[in-house]
Parts: sequence; C-alpha cells; structure tokens
Amino acid sequence: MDRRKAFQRISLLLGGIALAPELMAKALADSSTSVSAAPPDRLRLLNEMAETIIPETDTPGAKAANVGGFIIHAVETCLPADRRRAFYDGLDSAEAACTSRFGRSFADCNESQRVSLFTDLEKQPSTEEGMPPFFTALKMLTLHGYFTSEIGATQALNYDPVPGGWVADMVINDQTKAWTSMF
Amino acid sequence: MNLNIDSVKKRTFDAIVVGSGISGGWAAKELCEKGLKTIVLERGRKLDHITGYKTALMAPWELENRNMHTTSDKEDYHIQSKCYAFNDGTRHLFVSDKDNPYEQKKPFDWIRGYHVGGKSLMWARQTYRWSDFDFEANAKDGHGSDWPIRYADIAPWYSYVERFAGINGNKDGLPQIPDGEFLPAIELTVLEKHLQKVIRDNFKGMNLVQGRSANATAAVNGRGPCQFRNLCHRGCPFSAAFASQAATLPAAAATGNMTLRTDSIVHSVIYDESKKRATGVRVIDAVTREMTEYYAKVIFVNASTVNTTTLLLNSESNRFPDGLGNDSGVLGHYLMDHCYRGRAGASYDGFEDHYHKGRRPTGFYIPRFRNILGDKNDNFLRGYAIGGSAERGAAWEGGAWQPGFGAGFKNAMTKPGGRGAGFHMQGECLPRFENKLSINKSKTDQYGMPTVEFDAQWSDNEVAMLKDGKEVFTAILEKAGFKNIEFYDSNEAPGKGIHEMGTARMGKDPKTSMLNRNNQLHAVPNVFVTDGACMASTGTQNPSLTYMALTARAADFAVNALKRREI
Repeated sequence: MDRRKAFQRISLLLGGIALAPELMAKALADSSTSVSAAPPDRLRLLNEMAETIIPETDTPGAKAANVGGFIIHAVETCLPADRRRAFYDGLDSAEAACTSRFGRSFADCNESQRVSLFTDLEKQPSTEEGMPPFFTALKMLTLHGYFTSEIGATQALNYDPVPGGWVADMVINDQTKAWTSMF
Repeated sequence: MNLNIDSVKKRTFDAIVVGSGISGGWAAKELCEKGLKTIVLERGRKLDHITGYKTALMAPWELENRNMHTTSDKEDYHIQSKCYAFNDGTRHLFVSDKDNPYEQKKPFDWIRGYHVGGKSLMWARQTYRWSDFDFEANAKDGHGSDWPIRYADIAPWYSYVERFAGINGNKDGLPQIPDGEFLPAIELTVLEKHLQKVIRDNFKGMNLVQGRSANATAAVNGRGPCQFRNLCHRGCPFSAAFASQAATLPAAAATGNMTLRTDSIVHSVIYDESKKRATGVRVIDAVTREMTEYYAKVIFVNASTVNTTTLLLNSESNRFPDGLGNDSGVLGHYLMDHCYRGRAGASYDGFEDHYHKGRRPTGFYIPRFRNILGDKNDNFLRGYAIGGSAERGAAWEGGAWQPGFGAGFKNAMTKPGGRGAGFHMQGECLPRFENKLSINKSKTDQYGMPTVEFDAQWSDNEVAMLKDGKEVFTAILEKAGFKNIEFYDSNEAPGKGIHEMGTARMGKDPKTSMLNRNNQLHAVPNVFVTDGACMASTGTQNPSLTYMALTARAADFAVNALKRREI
C-alpha cells in the first residue's frame, strides 16, 4: 500500500534525496546539535556553486531561489555533527582547490573556471566508505533546495497543488515537465 | 451536600467512551445516535476539523525544513520519526517520545498521536474486509483462541460502516477480501496494469487489485470528494479522508447527546463489587493533574490497543487484583503487529511517453494467496498480503546520482523520472502468549500513570515468510521485465506496522480470553473493548475497517442490552 511510501523506496533504489534521512540516521553517536556560525561568505559561495549546478535558463536558477540559504539550513538543522563537518570539509577542500588553481574563490571564478573545477570535482570518489562524495551531497541538497523552493516548484516544474482528480494515464512528449513533488 | 449531588449528576452519563480515534469515534456516533447521553474522554488536546489542520494547505517551500528530518527529531521523536507519515507537515500530530517514555525489554516502536481523532488523522486509510480464512484461522491451526464470530456475523456491519465512511475500490470477487459498498475506484497506472496482467497470466492464485482506501472519491454524507493531493496525513480540508473529526464525531455531536472532554487521561475503571458492574472511570486532567470521576451505565474502552490494556491493567480491585476482567490472566498477552519487514524495489524501462495527473491516496494490493484456495506452503502457517505502487516520480529526486551539472542537467531534472515499483509484505503475525506488554507502577509518567513495558518479538513463522516473499517478488518482477530488482529485510521491530493488536482478546472461553462475541468483558458485562486490543489474530488485512464494524456491532448490542436491562 501507499502508506509504505513505496515511491521513496524506488528513489532510494535509483538513488536520490530519499537517501538523505538515511544518511542522517547514521552516526547518531556524534549528534551534537550545536550550531556552528556560518562564515558570511559561505552563503555566497554555496549560492554560486548551486547556480553552477542549476543555472538561470528560461527559468530562474538556484541563486534566485536562495538555494545556498537552504543548504546552510539543512546542513545545520538536519545533519548530525559528523556529517555536517564532512560536508563543510568537502566544501573547504573544493574552495582550496579552486584558490590554488585560479587564485580566487569559486564565487569569483568565471564560467569556464567553474565548469573546469566541477568537472574535476565530479570525478573525485568519496573520502568515506558508504557515504556519498561531497559533490553528490552538494547536488542532492541543491536539487532538493531548488525544486522545493517557490521558484523551482512553480516555474521549473508543473505545480498542481489541488489536482481535483486522478488521471492514471496520459501521453506526454519530451517537453512535458514533472509534477511538483508534494510530501 | 446538594452541591455534591449536583456535581455527581453533572458527571453522570448514559455512556462513557474512552478515546476519540477510529473506534472511539464510531462508538460515540453509534451510542449518541441511539439516544445515549455520552461523554467522550480524549487524553490529548483539542484538534478541530479543518481549522485545526495548520499545515494542510502549505506548499513545499512553506514547510520549515522542506520535509527533511532534523537532528532534533532524532532526539525528541526518535521512535515517532520512524513512521512513514512523520514529516515536516505532520510532526505536530505525533507525541514527543521524550515526554512520553516507555520501556522496551525488546524493541517495540510505539507510534502515537495524542489529540482528538488520534491516529485516525495520520492513518494510511487502507480498508479491507476480513474473511472466514481469517476468522477461522485460529481454530484451524490451533494458534490463538478461536474467534467467537465468523464473517456472517460482521458482514452487515462492514456494509454499514463502509456506507458511512466512504471506501473506494473495485468489486474484485476475491473471497479473501470480500467485496463491499464501494465508491468509485482509483485507476491503476499503466505500469500497475502491466503487472496486474503478468500476475494474472503467470501466477495462479495471485491477484493485483487497486488498494481500497477510506478516501471519498465521490461525495458521501457531505464529505469529499477527494482532490487527489495525497496530503491526507496533515488532515483533509476537503473532508474526503476519513478521520474521526471529519466523520463520526460530527455525527455524534449533531445528536446533541455528545460531550467531548479533551486533556482527559483515564486512569482506571471504577468497579462496584456489589453490583458486579463498572460504574465509571477516574480521569486525570492532563493540564491541572486533578482527578475526577465520571459515571455511566456502559463504558466503551477505545484508547487504542496499548493504552486500552494499560487502563484495564491499572484498574485493580479486590475482585480483579490483576486488572479489570482479567480472570484468565491473558490481559497484556498475545500482542501482535503485521510484519512489514520484506520489501522490494525495481526499475522499469518502457512506457516512456506515459505519465499521470494527480496524486493518489493509495496504490495496489495483492491479497493473501498462501495457504488458502488450494495453495499449500510447508514452511510457514497462514500468509501475507503485498502492497505497493508502480509509478513515475520526478527526475530530480534521483538526480544527485546522475552525472552532470549546468543548463542541460537542469533541463533534464525538470522532467518526469524513471519508472519503478516498490513492494512490501504485510505478514500475518501469530498470536503468542510470550509477546506481551505490562505496566510498571513503580515508574510512572508525568501524569502519574504507570509506564508500559514491551516484551515482544517476531516469531520464526513471520521470519519464514520473508524468504518466500523474496522468491515471489523476484519471480513477479523478473517476469514483468523489471530491472535492478532488489529485495531487502527492513528488520524493523514490532510496532512499526502500527497495527498493534491483541492483549485483551476476544474468545469463546472466559478462561482463555477477555472479551466475548459482543466485545463485552466476560466478567464485567457493561464494559466493551472494540479497538485493536480485542483482536484474536491479525489476518493479513489492515485492521481499521474491522475495528469500525466491530464497534458499530457492539454498540448496537450494548444499547439493546441496556433496553433489556441486561447490563
């Protein structure tokens, strides 16, 4: 039955945001909830990274939806201390790689520098057994933050808050957008 | 003196109903409609229909954590957050585990909602009739006490409650889930229809049907119709999802006979030895902590399985030193839950140009096929049902694991996602004396109520079904052309099925059961139990529809017995 959220199981299998709570369930032994103060440039950095993943096209991008703000909230509120630390370590090391290569923060890099850096980053394996690599975690949070934001949910996807009925089968084409996920 | 008499008079009713969840709501409706002045005692807070559903219309971006669990959930709600329905939109409907502790000799996930309506707000609404395969099971294999009723006894009451509650589904003609009074069905997806056909053509005895659910797909008694938002757990502002405050409690209130008192934790039932009857209940006010007594001729205990039995165990008297009506010694024993440990998922290539519109409040269902209708499995007794859904999600939900970033990636992420199926087993749990709950009077909670201790585990029979489930899932999914088939054992503890049943079971023999065929305590005929505590076995079907039918049936009996001055 639907109650078991079979759907979540599917996305778990295919890999997806449904993994996030599972990740969070791990490492409870180290679940200090003390909120670390986010450095002021972290919001800008994360918004620029998220924008590189989900840029402005015919619809606004991640920066307009303040996905960086969501990521900081999610990391601070939803991740246990060791996962939070791992995420920030990954972020710091990506930024360090950027600085050593281009002499500036990712946030100040041009498009081709960003693409070059992310292309390398995407190839990097996880530093921890059983945990996603930093870039995968960043993408997971970026996608969740963007597609649950008002901009992402209503402009990038097909928002249908009160469908009013059920159509079990409709034929679509390659331009059809996904319905906005509601939980 | 006069003041005192007045006060007693004010606290005297024809009937008391303990609890306002699925079964308590039905008891209130039936007793009030039959003319009894009834007080409903709800331990939790007031929660009004629609106006109390504070998250019902929230958009994803309005939810505080965009539906992610927080680290504090793992502390304050470490048990409740395991529930499929626990999320940003429903957190406020679950109890704080920190404030409501209990003991686990063995792991038991006790999921609770303390407010008007109880779990009838957050339930999954799957509603199937039981059949004589279920009511006869105990007698046939000797596990548990024989049910004192058969399908024919309850069938008209199933019809009665279905017509009021609003149950959608198809008349499938399957004897293990008898057909009922259905509202329009919710069509299966193309992928589910494909599965349905593969099963029909290749797996004898198995049938895939639409999951019947208590969502009004057409207007019923002023409720609905369903808007296909599938946000039922937050409370349905269209009154289409069945909940006590949407359906039964308004009907009870409309008679003018109902008094609903919230924040009222029933401490114990008062027993009068000379009358050989219960005369009322003692209530702790959850806010003031004051104890008050209420009196009535008939008492329905519908506090939900665990709290009902806790209340009976806590009702000690000279006549019943081990709990009200507990001559048999079985009170607290034979605790059961459905075993949902077996799961499977798989992906499917095909139907690329097919999609759906709307969000269904249900999925598909494969009723029990083992050890009935000619099937014989030597590895376990009884059987299991299978639930699940096969549909299409959104690409972004799995996108983090897809390569790429940038404009092309973004565009791909806005599209419908892959097709897949999720299956879960719903295994029958044998009644076992060893699986029990007890109360610890030396360790009380903040209200002074004894804490509950669970001592229950899955038996070999439930575990043996998992192996069969794996083979069956794999065979179906392979035959149907699915890929990436993965079976796993969630290894979850009892309780998490939220179908906790038993502990004050019905039976023919007062020496081995608590309740008779009318859900009366054998030894105290004016006390009725019609929630999950009364169940003598679990069947493989979701139990709430059976609680509804048993409650309406018992209320009818109780009112007639009152008229005949038998109780």
